[in-house]
Amino acid sequence: MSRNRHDNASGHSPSPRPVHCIGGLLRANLKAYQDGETSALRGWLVRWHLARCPDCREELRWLQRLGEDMKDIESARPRPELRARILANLPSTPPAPGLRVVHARPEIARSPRRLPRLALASGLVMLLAVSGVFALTHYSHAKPNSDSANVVVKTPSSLRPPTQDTPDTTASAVAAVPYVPEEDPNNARADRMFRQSMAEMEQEKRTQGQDDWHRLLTQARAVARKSDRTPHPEMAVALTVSDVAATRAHLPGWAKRAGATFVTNTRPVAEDSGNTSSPQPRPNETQGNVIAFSLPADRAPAFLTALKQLGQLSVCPTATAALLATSLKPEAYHLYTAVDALGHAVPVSPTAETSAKPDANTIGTTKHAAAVRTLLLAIVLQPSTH
Amino acid sequence: MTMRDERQLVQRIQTGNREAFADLLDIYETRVYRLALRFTGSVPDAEDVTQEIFLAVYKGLGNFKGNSALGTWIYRVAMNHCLEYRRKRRLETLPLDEEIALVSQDWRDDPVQSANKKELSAKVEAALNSLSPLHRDVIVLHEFQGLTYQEVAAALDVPVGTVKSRLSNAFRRLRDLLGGYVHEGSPTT
Repeated sequence: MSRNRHDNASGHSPSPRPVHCIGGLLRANLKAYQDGETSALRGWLVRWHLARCPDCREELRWLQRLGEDMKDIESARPRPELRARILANLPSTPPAPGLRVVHARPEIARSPRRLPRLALASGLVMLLAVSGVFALTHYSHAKPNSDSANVVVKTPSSLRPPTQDTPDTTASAVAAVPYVPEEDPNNARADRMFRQSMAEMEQEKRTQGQDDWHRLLTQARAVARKSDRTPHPEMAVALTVSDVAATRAHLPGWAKRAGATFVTNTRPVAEDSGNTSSPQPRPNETQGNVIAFSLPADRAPAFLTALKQLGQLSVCPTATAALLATSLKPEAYHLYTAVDALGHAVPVSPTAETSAKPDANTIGTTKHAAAVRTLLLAIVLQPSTH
Repeated sequence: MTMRDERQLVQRIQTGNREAFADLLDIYETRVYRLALRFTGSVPDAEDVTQEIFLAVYKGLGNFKGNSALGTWIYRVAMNHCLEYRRKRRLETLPLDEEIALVSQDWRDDPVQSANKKELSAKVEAALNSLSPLHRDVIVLHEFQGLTYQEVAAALDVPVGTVKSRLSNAFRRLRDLLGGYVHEGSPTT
């Protein structure tokens, strides 16, 4: 995004990102906000943020312009013959009940177990919405921000007829957004609500990151099992380096010389962190930010020590959380052990005993791991902030 | 179309009224065709897929209970056919720009506008082509077909939160690819 800051049409000079932009969490909500698809509280938070952040205002304008341009692109029309062809090929019998639709999926079934959670979540959302409405009415005296006057927000639309030329935007503008002055004593309440919502969004991001990790590890296991039926204890570390691209390019070759074998990788997690399904592993490529290696367990300490020479080696909380949250508890135990032992460069501790019995799916219990000779190591490359 | 109108339309089709199905075609044919064209990238294939979709819709209407909106249900059937087409063809990238250029014949009243439009379309189409299929699908359904997040989620059988994050990531990627192209050159600004 910083790259596009230089394209800023509103003439704003690049400025340090405001503290409320941290992690891009609010920025990730801009599209939903533009589409009128945010909750009342989150919408208010985005407006509150927009009143203070020229970068995000510009981003919102860009989203709006692109959306408008996209609507204009779609102008294909079917030939008249198609309609006649469809009607001519309809079955002679009326659509009687009992016939199944080809490929149609059943209605989405909700598990009864989900209901209490849904009720709890609904209650929480209601509470937050009431707080939001209270805050909105409380700040109604605030001044509009003139810089955001041209940004139009779409209301949720239902199906748009393709022949309609009228735009789906409404006149509700960010200009109506209350500007909360810094010196307002009520700011403390707004800040509290902001932090609360940020915490929610952080949680969402973590959950999505876990999905990515789960996918990577599942793929890595599958690849590893193809070549070697030995169970693989797993560990994941984050390697912070100044030049991710260069490290990514050289790491597989370097690791090979150190006795490790490239297994698989995924797309850069940093770019697609919010996507629950995009980072499909691409075997035999080495372009992803997360790279999995398999290596002899006895070489792991030396390997980890050597990795420290390349950059800062640290615990990867996303991967840890992902494993702890999945049903892969035995692996999670091993990951945890490995991370704990990172400073000591002992990836697997054979001393701790667990009662879990290893089978085809639960590889890597501690007891079982004593006989394991191979380690599956996932390294997430991340850029240093300096 | 209100829910009541939809129910009446479905009831008429269920009794074998072909004119009623023609009314349904009036409403959804273009949208479904455009969706199919996005996935197939060729007019003949899009016509075949559209025909298959409406045949499935006709057969399935016997069991349509109205638990969801008719449009949502039709989109789900359509998406399943389109995804099935993609799976069979195993196309990673579709030659959308060539085909769309052939069928897009609006904007010819003003040569300058037409040229701008063509250039803009080519850029956007190229950027769309470089997106992952999952990202492209949500953009097609939301931006081109005009579905709400809820409707896109129903069509793709994924949670609304997933639609939201996919769209956000897709547009972030588009921003990287397109940069500031829409600032002055866009005919809509």
